[in-house]
Parts: sequence; C-alpha cells; structure tokens
Amino acid sequence: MLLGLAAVIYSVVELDLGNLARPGPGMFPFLSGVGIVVLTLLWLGINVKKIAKGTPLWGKNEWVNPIILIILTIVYIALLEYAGYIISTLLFVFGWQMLIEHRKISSSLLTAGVCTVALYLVFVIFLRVPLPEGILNF
Amino acid sequence: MEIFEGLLNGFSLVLSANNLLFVFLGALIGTAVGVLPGLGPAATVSLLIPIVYTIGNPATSIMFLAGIYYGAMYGGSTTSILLRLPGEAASVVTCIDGYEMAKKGRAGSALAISAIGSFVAGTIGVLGLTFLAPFLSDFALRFGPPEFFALMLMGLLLAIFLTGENPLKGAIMLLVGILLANVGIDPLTGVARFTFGVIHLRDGFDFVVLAMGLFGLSEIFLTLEKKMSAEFLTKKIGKLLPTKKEWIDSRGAILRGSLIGFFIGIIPGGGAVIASLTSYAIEKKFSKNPEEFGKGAIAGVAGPESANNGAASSSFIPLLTLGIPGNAAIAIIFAALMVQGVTPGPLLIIDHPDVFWGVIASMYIGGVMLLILNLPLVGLWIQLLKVPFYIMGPAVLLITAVGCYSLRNSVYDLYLLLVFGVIGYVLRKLEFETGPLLMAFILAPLIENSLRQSLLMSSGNIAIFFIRPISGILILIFAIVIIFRLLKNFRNVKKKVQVEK
Repeated sequence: MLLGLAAVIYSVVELDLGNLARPGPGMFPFLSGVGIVVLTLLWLGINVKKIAKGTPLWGKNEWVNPIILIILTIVYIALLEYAGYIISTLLFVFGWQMLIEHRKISSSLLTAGVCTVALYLVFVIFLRVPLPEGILNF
Repeated sequence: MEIFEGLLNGFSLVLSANNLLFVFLGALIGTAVGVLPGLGPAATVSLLIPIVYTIGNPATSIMFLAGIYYGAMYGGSTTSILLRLPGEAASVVTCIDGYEMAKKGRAGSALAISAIGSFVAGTIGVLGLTFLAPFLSDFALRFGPPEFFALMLMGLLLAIFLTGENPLKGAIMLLVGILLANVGIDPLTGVARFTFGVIHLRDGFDFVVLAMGLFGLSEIFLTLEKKMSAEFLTKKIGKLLPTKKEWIDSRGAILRGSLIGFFIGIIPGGGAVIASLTSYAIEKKFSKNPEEFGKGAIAGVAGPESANNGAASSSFIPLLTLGIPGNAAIAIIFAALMVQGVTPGPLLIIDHPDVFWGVIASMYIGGVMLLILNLPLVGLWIQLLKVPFYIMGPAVLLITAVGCYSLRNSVYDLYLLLVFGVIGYVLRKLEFETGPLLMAFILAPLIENSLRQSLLMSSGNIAIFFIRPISGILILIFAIVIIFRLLKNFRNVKKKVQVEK
C-alpha cells in the first residue's frame, strides 16, 4: 500500500522541480501536482491506523499468476518484432496454458493453435490489420 | 418541427444496410459484454476503438459504440437473475430479487420484465434525449471559456463525489489523470512537458492505450488471482410471460425507474449504477409490502433494470450537448469522436447533424434489436458463460494487444499497454477507481485550455469564474452538493461513534 503512495509522492516531487523553472505551460501540472501531494497526505492521515494494521495486499500465492502473465507478455512483445505474429502468439498462448492453467501439453497445443489461427483470420484476413511478419514472412 | 426533421434524417441514415449492421453488432457485442462478468462497457469500448478507426465514419462509429454501451446494460441483468452474478456494476441490485425469483422458478418472468422494463426506459430516455438535447445545445452555445471550465470541473468533481465510495481517492485519481494528460507537447506554447528527452513521450499518451491497460488488461490480472468458475445455479428458466399480478406489480416500478434513471443519467457522474441503486431504494420504500423485497419481489427487478437503461440513454445528453462525458465509457466514446475530428459539444448539432441525429435514431432501433436479442436468445447467452477462462483470457489479451499494436504499428505502445495494465491492476488492488483517472485524462486538455483562455480574458483575475452568471451558478450548485455530501459523511461518522459507545 505504501509503495503506491511513495510512487505518487515521488512523481510529485519530480514535477514541482520541473514546473518552477517554466511557469507558463507548467502552471496546470504544478497545480495538480500540489493537489496530489495534499490529498495523498490527507488520505494517509485518515488511514494511518488501517495501514499500520497492515492487511497484506495479496493473499497467499495470489500474486503468482499475474507475475507469470506479466513476464509472458514482456517476452511476447519482445518476440513479436523478430519472430512475427504467428510464432510468438503460438508460444504465448501455449505458455499461458502450461504455466498458468497447468493443462496437459496436448490440450495446450490445441488451444494455442486454435487461438492463433482464429485471431489471425479475424484481424489479418477480415480486418486487414498489418501484423509483424517476422523471419518467416507470415 | 426542426426536431422531427432532424430525427427523420437520422432514421434515414441509420436505416442504411451498413449502419444497421453496426448498430446490430454494437447491440450484440454489448449484450455479450453485459453477460460476461468482469469485462465492463468501458473496457470493451476501449478494446474496440481500433476497429472504429477502420470504420472511418464518425456517425457509424458512435452508433456502434453507443450500442455496446446500452447493450451492456441489457445483458447485465441476465446473469444477475440466473446466476446471481452481476455482469456489470449497474446490475448488482438486480441480483437480490432477481435471483430469488429464479430460485422460485420464475426466472422467465424476471428476465422478461427486466427486458421489457429496459426497453420502456430506454425508449423514454431516448425520447427525452430527442426533445431536450436540441434545447440544451442551443443554451450551451452561449458558453465561453469560463463557463466551460466551470462545467467540466463540476462534471469531473460530481463524478467522484457521486459514484466513488471515497471521494478523496477519486480526487487523487482525477489529478493523476490530469498529470498523465500533461505529458507531451503543450498545445499553446509548444513546450515539451515531462518528456525527459524520450522521443516517444513527445506525443503524449494515447487514450486508447491508457484505457485498454487500465480497464482491459488490469481486469485479466485480477481474474488470474482467483480461479473463477461460474456455477450454474438455475436450471430452469420457466415461462417467459409474466403473470397478470406480476404485470401490475411492476408497471409502476418500470415507470418510476425510467424517470429516476433518466434524471440521474443527465447528471455528470450520475450514471447507471446510482440510478439502479436509487430505484431499488425507492421501490422498497413505496411498496405496499416491503417485506417481499429480498425474497423475490418483481418490482425490485423491474425498477432498477429500467433505471439503469434510462440512465444509459440519458447520459448521452451531456455528451452530445455540452461535450461533457458523465462516466468512463462515455468518456471513451467522447475521445473516439474527437480523434475522428468531431468535437462533441453545443456545436455538434449544427456542424455534424448526421452524428447527432444518427446516434439518437440508432438508439430507437438499437432498443428494438436488444429486445429481440435478449428475450428469445437468453439460452444462447448463458452458453457464453460456459466458455472457460483459459480461452477467454488469452483471447481478450491478444485482441487488446493486436488492437493496440494496430494504432500506430508500434511495439512501444504494447510495452506502454503493459505498464498501464500493471498500474491499473495495482490501483484496483488498492481500491482506487480508475474511471476518474481516465475521464480527467480525456478532459484535461480542454480544461487546461479553457482555464488559460479564461485567465487571459480576465488578465489573471480568478473572479471571472464567479462573476459571470452561468459559471457562477454552476459553481454554486457544485458547492451545495459538496456541502451536503460532507454533512452526510459527518453524520455517518457521528452515528458510528454513537454506536461504538
């Protein structure tokens, strides 16, 4: 909980410095920055007791799947440009099925294939969205 | 007579094959979204923005997006009644009595009444929109920068004061939204703000990427935490036709709900959720047998369901006439129009009568389509819920990613999407609402410009906002609302203290 607040306050400190140097265009961000600091402090003040009690934000193992997905997505985006849509999407969905849903290899492969092809048909064939082709040219 | 002429033109526009198709698609997707828990109208509208760009015609695209928005209000009731699982927030109260009715084997009549109530309320809402909107536009033409500043500020603040559980958190989100919108080149002076020398940041953030991340992606993260499995609690839907007694019981509730919804929908930040809650409270209070509520009173289904649809239609009034979006989903529609070169506001009816009357006419037709889609096809929508998350999840994520990529064919946008997704996820874990953030983000450039223009007009005198009659009255109204709200909070705290003693 404190982490999110620290981020807000940090960004505000960063902002105030930037604004004082150039008052014209900086006025609006400055006002909102000050507002955030004041309101966050107010909010902290009101909730001091609650935060001190410290109910953890994530329950037991709740954070595992979201983290896996974040990593998977980063890998997916990184691969997309080089390997192209089909290969990276196949891998992404396959990874999701195996790591998050813990399904069998065969059914994971099947889902990955169907998902990839179906979306390819909708976006590339029907809506003509240009997707990265990658090394295999498809 | 101008109204009828406009409406007629609107109808002739909607009745073209292409537009009918998109109204239908909007209603169809909207219903699906309403049925599926989790994905709300705001998330879906943002996911589909890239498709809207390929449509190219602003009138058609707003018909499509509007269809999704009011379609979702329809669909939300289905799962509330059958599974006690509100498909979207505005249907939460429908769960109470709707599900009780389903347990007694009267699911059919609950569904029918909510569909009919939705239809009646939607129609009343659109009728109100038809006749009220032109007058409001006319009135708003007299607005200058100070009035718009007061109006937008009031709209945003009302939104957080009325909807949020916690106005303080809402206000923080609002300011964060404004800050995010300030990234990029300042339109008035050309100075780059918060870019830290990064070229990508010079254009600022795209609202579509922000909306997709905050609403769409964060939803997937939240769902991943818990394995959700929809249990099919209701086996039999029963007869669709309500009995004579149920008709009589719900008639008044539908009418009252429609009116409540209509008026609450007009207020920025009012929206469907408050409308349905208010209607439920009123029905319970005025019912001859309030003890039935919570045990399957049909008025407890008819009222709220009518109210949320009435509000869905009337929330287009501030958008089309004043250019003020009342909630996150409408704000995304607002931004989608802006991107296509159409600025919603008082000039809309003059500059783009096709958009103005087209969307109003499409709502009449969309209402009829929804009635057909929802009643006979209830069974089909329930099947949709059986699609497991291991297919839904990747599909939604990939659609989001592809849509996001297609905006500018840039991988950078995808990373940004992920970042916003994670931010949205953490914020929602902290119980911060992301709606005000997005609304402020979309309105910020307009607010900033009107503020700076007003200050230029008055050469730096803040009094300009209070002296001019319209903006003065707006600020006064807003002050009254806040004082009432604070008093209410104060009383609640006092009560709590007394209880503790």
